[in-house]
Amino acid sequence: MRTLTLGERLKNADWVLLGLGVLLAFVGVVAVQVAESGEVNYGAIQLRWMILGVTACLLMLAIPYRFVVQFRWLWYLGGVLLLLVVLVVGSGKSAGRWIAIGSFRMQPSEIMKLILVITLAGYIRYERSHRTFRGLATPFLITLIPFMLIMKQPDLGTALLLLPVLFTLLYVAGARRKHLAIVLGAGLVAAVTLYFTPGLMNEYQKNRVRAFLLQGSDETALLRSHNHHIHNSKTVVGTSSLLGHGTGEETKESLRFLSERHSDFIFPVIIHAFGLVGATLLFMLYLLFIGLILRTALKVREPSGRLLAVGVGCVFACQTVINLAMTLGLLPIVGMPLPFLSYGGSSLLTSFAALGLVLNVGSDHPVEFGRGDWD
Amino acid sequence: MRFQRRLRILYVGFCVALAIVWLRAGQLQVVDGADWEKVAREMRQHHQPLEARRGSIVSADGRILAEDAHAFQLALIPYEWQRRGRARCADCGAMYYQRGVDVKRLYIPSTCSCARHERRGASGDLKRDAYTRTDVPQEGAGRLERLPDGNVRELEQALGMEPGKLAALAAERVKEVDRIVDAIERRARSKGDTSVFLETMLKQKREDLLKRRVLVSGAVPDDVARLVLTDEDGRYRGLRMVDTLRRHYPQGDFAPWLIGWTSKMRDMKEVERLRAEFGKARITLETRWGRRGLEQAYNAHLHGVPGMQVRQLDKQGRFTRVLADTPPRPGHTLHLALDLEVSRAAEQLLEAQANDTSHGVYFPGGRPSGAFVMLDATTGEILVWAETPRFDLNTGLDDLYDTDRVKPVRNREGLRIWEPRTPLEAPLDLETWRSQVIVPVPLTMSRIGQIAVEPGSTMKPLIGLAMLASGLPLPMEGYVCSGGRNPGCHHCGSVDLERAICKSCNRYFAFSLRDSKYWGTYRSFVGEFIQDLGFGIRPTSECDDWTAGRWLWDWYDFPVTEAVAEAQRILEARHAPELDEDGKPIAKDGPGRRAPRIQLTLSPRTPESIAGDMPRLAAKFADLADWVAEQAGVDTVQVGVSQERREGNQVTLRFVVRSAGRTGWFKLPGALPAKLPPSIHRMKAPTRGLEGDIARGGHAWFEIAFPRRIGRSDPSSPPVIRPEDGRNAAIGQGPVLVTPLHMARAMASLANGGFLVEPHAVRAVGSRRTRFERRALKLDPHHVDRVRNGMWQVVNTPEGTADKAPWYDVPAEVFGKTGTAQVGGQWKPWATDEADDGAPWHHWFVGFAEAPGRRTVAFACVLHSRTEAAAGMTAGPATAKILARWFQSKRSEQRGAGR
Repeated sequence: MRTLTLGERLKNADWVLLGLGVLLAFVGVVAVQVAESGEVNYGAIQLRWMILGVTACLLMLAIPYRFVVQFRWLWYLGGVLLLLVVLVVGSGKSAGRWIAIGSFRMQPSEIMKLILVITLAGYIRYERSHRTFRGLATPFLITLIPFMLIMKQPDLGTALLLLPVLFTLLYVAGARRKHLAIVLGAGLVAAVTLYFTPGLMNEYQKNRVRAFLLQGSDETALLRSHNHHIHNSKTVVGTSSLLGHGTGEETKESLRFLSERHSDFIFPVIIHAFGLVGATLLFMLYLLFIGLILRTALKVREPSGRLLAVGVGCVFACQTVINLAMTLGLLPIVGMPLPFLSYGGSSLLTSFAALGLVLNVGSDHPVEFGRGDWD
Repeated sequence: MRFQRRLRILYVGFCVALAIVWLRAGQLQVVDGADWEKVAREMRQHHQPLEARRGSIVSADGRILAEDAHAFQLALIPYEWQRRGRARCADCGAMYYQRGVDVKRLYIPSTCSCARHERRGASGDLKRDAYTRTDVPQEGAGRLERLPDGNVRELEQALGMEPGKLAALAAERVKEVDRIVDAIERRARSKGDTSVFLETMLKQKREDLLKRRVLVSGAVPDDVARLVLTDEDGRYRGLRMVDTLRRHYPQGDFAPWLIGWTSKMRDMKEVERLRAEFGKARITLETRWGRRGLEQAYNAHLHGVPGMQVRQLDKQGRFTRVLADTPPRPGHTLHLALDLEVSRAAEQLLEAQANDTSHGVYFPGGRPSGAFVMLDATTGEILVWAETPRFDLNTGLDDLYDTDRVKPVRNREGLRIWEPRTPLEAPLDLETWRSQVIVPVPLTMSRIGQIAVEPGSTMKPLIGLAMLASGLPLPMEGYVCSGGRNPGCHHCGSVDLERAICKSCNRYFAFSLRDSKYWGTYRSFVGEFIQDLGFGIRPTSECDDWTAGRWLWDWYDFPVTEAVAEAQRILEARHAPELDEDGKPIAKDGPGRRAPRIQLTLSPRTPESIAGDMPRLAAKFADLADWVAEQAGVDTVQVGVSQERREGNQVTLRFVVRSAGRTGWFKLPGALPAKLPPSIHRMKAPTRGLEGDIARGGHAWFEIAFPRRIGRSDPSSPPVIRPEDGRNAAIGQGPVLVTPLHMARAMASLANGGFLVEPHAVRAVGSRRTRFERRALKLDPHHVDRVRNGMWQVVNTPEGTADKAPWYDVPAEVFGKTGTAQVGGQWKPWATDEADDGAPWHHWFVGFAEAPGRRTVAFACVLHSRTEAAAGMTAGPATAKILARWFQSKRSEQRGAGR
């Protein structure tokens, strides 16, 4: 099989998809600038990260994805090690999710999302056992190790994101629906047990769930504190107009009471500034973006490439839906950034790297490689 | 095709999820939009930071030394104060007070609005208002008359203030704000700003500044606080009672430099710096941060995590409910090893000893001055800490930041004290401050940890140990001392090492390290050995405050020009203009005094470099130039330096001040003696020679003697130790400066068989024990025994220099050494008057004590005096009494012994 040259790869790349990614990131920079609290210039920092992200994306495009998949266990081991390191030396406001090296801070759980996609894509592509019930054990084990480590940080949002990725990859790879349904049912039971087993979940995580279920009521001060985020977010969305209030000082002033507005709660900022029309355009951008990623998966015949594209698409789609639903009070609050838009270096860098991987898959048109399809 | 189908299903799922989200956003905005608008309109949120309680500091006997206590502070808001008022209805006597936040809308009406007057006038007639079509009282009925402000007068009385003090404070603040606003306007105009918005901006700025709180009283009694807190009628409009945490030191003036103090953040720059280190959540502009001593050293443990309460307010700004509540987390408690009871007793004994003049010891103004510290020789825990004089930590130190915020002044007794550059707010006024803070040294200096002085003969046992450890034969063993001068000694007779220690023979030790065949080997070995014992380095890692003192290596060369350049930098910093909130200089009413410029002329006879302590000389230059500039009213102070004379290893430099504008000698002001050695205080009128000409021309001059150095040296290369330095160091004079903490630490090494411990006061932080390094010195037990034997003889034989002290009261074996340093130290811890011409004398007694079943303790005692006296008659008895008190205490028992 002939490996494509860099020139061919660049020529074949889906530049529309990259353009969409950059556009989303640019909207993010503008939104972060609007959300700025005045003490730190988050907008400028985000712009720097965006430039770095595009560079990372092009770098990923240059390396043939099959090499990346080939060394999957190495990435996986590195990712798990980083997650172990973060448990020891982790820093963060409420949870130890970051590794700080001087002024640079890295969130390994963000990187682990991409690594898991690569590992699972490589594993499932070379195995056929996932079509049996017993065969599901290994992919689940691969997922559960980082899942538990991320839960331990604790970062419930990122941990829970790993499960849809696993299910989606198994589903598109041809795992039986019956098996998946059984596992899903068992998982739900396990989740409920987890919630009620003392010591397994942090109190603040339970409070968030309780606050979500008791939206509107104010039972205790602690619950109020979590309801308060949802309440403020809904107030910001509800008081916006069709075309929004613009990006002026008035908007900044009216957003002051919304905490984490530059990161997880960036969507209320966007809808407040650009209105429902702006939000609709944003939704369409995301639809197009995910659609193009999945089209890449359809275009490629090589199974691991297909799975990579689907996995990345799944990560983006799940993150988008969970974040948006969370800010509108449809889901409990979890620490989940909006892809390309929320402030955060690790998140943006990983997103662009993942996008680079999809572009890589799309630009590579291998002649028949191994088995053709699962059909 | 299954793959394609499944992929399509997933995409449709994503589209559906996104559609649901979109519908939800639409619902919130379009359907429920009006409700959310209402919520937003009604919702005023106030983020109230909740101060975290700072950890307490507790002594070994369980007594609280520092704690956070709730206190009410009375604050004044000038903006509201200007709009206060009250009125009474002449008919029915109903009272009206101005109230509320928005003064534009809420004011005292012109007529009474009681039920009677609202419907009918005083005559009972009704009058129809043509415009509002409502009944109003007749003109003149129920008219309100304005009354003088009686409530505030009562409040002032309750707080013990002079009548009209609050109004005066408000007026003062208004004046200050006007000055700031004027300065901003002048600056804007000078930059050509003729913008139409300038007026509006200035008005807004003025309002903002007037709305800021001015602290009136820091400790308001609860019943008085209740008066203001329960006020609903606007009687105390413009006054706010703030419930706050204040640092309280129940023991008042106990070990102020060790315990330290706290103050609020200086500015946002400091906040940002600390946030980078300790996290954003922990530091706010209101954070009280440890500035000195343990309060500073254990900031990270003592300081808790502040909480936050999000409060919902209504349109009028009234509190309606709590939206979010993150409770504050208090800091950890520090458990000290320090015994408060014995330390307190030690303070009294020190004072009593210092006041005892029966042995010819005279302390200036009868003011006792000295320090005593005792360590656990095994662990390094500080057990007893006593200093005199002291100051009360509760006297308004909360508002003091650092030495840069204080200036030297004289108190009623004419002693030099330090006070804040900005007026103290609460709880102390300047008069009280002056009467209470009588410490004639900067507040930041501790006699145990920070004021380093010559150790005198207390160095001898350590020098002896160093000589033994070198492995060379002792050169003066068997020497017959017949007394004499240079160095001065009594008739000690035949001495070996033990007897030399016992009789404190200067010649034995000085000659051992003089320029002889042994010197070449001894100089570096002894130098390094003594440094290994902790001299010339900070004695502990616990507190950054404690000084390193000085050992031979710190005695370095520098040119005079370097000292003058440094002095100029000090002056520039001292006279830097005050800045406003935006960091811009505030224009003063008149031209402020600028930093004087020092113009230096060197005569050809001046050596290129001299040896000594450059930073201190620079400080002296700065003080001198400042003073001269102020007295003579000149901008440039001309200083000429000529070499006066060479004597032995000393060179005396003469500094001529040409700008003083007066003939003859002059005495430097009281602020300076603490920084200038006494020999240079007095400037005599010269009658002949060059100086005579200068004096006749109206110049003043002074002299400073330096150890001689010829030729320029490279400051980066280690200095060469010369035989004279070694000889002086051997008897604790010359280039050696130590603190009692250094001496106690070295004595602990002799007591515990050769381990260098780190002195530390904190035994545990919360429930975790502290850990400090303990380093083995690898001493030969025979060498240690010889030195111990000598020290035992000092105390227990009639020939010993300390045998007169009441050791019979001490139920332990005491090993000690006396020391009297006869030369001027780097620091002279009291103000001098004209009669005070002598160098300070430091009376030392250091050593250790051990008894079966008791903790082995090492100690150091120093008393400062202006006259010569044997330390054995002053510091020795004081130590004996303190040791007797210690061994009576239960805490002297070894932990685990007898159980």
